[in-house]
Amino acid sequence: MPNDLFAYIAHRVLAAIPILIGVTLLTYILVEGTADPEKLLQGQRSDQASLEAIREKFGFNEPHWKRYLSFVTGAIQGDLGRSLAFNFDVAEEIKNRFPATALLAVTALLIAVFVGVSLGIFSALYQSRWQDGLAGVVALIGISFPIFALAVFLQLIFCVLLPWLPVTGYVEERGWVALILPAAALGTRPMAEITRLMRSSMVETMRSQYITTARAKGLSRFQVLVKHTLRNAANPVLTAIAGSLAELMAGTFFIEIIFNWPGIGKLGFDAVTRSDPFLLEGTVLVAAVLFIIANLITDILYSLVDPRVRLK
Amino acid sequence: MLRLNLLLTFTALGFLVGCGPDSTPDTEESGGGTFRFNVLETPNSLDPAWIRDTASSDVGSSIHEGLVEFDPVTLEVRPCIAESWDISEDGLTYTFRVRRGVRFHDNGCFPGGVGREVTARDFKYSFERVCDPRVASPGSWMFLGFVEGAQEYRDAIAARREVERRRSSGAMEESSDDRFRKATINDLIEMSIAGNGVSGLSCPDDWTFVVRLERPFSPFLYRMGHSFSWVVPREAVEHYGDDFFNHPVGAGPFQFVKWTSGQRIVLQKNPHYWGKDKDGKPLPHLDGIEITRIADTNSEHYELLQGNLHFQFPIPLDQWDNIFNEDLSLKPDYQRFQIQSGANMRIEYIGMLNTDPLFQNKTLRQALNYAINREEIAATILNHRAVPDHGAVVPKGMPGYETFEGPYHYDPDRARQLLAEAGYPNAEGLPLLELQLNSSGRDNEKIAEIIQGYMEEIGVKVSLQVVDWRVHLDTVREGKVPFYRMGWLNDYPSPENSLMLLEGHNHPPDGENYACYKNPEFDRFFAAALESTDPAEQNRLYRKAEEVAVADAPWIFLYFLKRYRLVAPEVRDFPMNAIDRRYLKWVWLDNAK
Repeated sequence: MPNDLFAYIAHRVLAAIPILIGVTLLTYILVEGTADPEKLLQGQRSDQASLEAIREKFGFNEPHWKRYLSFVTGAIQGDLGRSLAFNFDVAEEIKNRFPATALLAVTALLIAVFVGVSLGIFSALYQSRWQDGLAGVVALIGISFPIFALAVFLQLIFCVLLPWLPVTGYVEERGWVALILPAAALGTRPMAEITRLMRSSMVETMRSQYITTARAKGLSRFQVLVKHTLRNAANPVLTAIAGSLAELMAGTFFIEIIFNWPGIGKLGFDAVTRSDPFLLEGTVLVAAVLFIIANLITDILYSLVDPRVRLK
Repeated sequence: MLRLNLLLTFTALGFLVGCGPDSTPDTEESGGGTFRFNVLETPNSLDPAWIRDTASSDVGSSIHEGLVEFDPVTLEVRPCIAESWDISEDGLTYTFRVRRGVRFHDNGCFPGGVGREVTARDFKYSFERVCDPRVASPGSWMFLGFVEGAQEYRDAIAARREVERRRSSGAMEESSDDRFRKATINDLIEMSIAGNGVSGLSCPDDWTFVVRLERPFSPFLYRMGHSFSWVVPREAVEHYGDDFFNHPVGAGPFQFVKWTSGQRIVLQKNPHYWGKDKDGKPLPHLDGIEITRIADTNSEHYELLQGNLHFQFPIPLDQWDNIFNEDLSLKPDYQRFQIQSGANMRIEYIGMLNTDPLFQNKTLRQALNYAINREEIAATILNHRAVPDHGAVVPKGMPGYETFEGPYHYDPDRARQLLAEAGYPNAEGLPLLELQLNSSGRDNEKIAEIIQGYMEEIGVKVSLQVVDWRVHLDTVREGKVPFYRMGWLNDYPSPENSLMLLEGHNHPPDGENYACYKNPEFDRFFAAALESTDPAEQNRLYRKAEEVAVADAPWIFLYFLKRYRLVAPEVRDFPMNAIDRRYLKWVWLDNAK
């Protein structure tokens, strides 16, 4: 690994630390600083003795700075506390839920890449013809349709009108078919973005002089496409794919709720609806770490593709 | 203890045979199967001491049972694990006879994995556990201040912990706890003696459980039907420790199998369940229950249409027009389903802080009540999902209690007239009223806006302040909000559980009388009803109290929620009741459908 690349990555990793501190601090202030969570836990019929017991058990009697510090030091050691609303170990639960979210996000990404790249190439090859127009409309719909509306629409078509696929559920219970709709719904927007980017990148590359040279040398259309056009056109698309990781993470929140997918997004939803401080802090922290990793990957890919980024 | 004449005696034989829904699976093919339903929220716990939300109660009611249960239709109290009981003439002593042959579910926490018989001592243990401050159960209100020695037991355990704290920290005379600030170590040791048990809970033998109250409290039996009173075995609590909440062991008709994180809860038939249906067939009829947790109501609805759920409640508003015609009959696509509807024991109102200088004015409070068109709210915004409340505190469906028809029908002229009598002719001089409400994402905001319009009609200006629920609850409790939206879902079907919202001693922060309403006449009737041992007299006194309160208009009465449930065609013996207590032991699936 070249030294400047290593330095660039180290710089990006170090830059993530203040972001993480900011995220934890903001989450803490919003969640624990605004109201007493133990009162919510006790409901409308709370009594002082129970509130006192909960405060003691969960450390709410401690001053805020101590509680915040304890949250941060616990998080560094992998201890995110016990959920106030559900009583489970937060880190353990996030660990249990992570594979479901990862499976959904990766499948959605694969769909997005496969369909997006294929459609982009197809569109570029049939530039300004009806096939190009059709692909453009598909991409436009994919970008414009809100993810939750698309999810409900897909359910309506493939579960109610044509009862082919399960409405909700996880692969463990309903089999792999349960993955189709959530992954398709989640992957549609990145797919549309990749399609547009792939098309424009292909069109630009195809107009390059070296492509004309390659053709003049007598290479077949297929050889020109695979060896020269695709290789060069793929660079910006590659970075766009990495960039869509963060978007996929955000999308899982809606998709997991609608499709009852047992991932981190649904856990976050439970944390919000129950105002569970430890669960909320834990899920937000994990989501922030995942976002940072996704952005880091994007930055590294950018720097690999275009070394000028490192110099900046 | 002086044992007086028996006032109420229920004997199990003759009562239990014939109880429950009327029909029974009539063929070998019918019955059995797995019943599937969804909960919109993740249950917070299946430990009865911590069951405080609807989702947990919906699941827990199949796993656990208590001394009594509610009739699935009328909600009257009837025997369950207690086969009978006596109440002493002074209303202070309840003697329950525990049914023999009731067993806890088979579980690894018992020797050999075989569930042992439930005894009176298990109830003593379970009730004391709810009172124990170390458990911090949100259900301690059920016993504290009512059961003799409950508060002392709680204080004793707290004192014991304080002694340990002082000994470990070396700060022998200091305490952060106000209760112990002035107590010496000797005082604390003396206080902690009562920590060996609640004196008002005793077991003369394994089959007799005696509860002694501090004062007569006529709705006590209803409390015995609440989830906080369900019985649990000590072995399971100690074996599973902090994880008992998701490894519940009870004595109910279904036993816990698994809880897949974020997905589903699976229960199976308890083969040793004691209950029989009216034909003597063993209960439950179903082989098992599966509970999913789908948060999105449209997805839940599609699962129902695909046949993967056996009912949906509540019916999502987005689907309302697809399901119902204007006359609330079912559209053709839904006619195969069963529709059930009924009033819910949930009241919605706008509270007015009666101690606030402005709202101390009773005539003003009455005027605002006449300004609201409740019929319009129920028919339009709520799509008939509500019953207008013209001034009743106690909801419909209360066993033996006739609902009060209040006086506050929509009458803007009367409202204007009362406004003038209150000292605000044409609302002149009346400050802007800020109505605080919590965001519900839909109904609360819309209803607040329409109320704003009604007030405008009589010249009263209202602004809306929408806040998060916990901020709302906290600020209302702290008496910082003079004008606020609020609701109450009854814990159990007794008028006491509604009227206590206005009881003079029940003010915040510990009480639920957020309006800080106080009328000695109301309190007198209410207290007399609690002391009465005659059900008819209790209801008469509750009614008197309700009339006093309604005349005082402590709130702006709005509506009671009405519920609709869409049930799959094959489901039988699944009646709906006003507190949505679901007894699945009688349910069976007509597989011929």
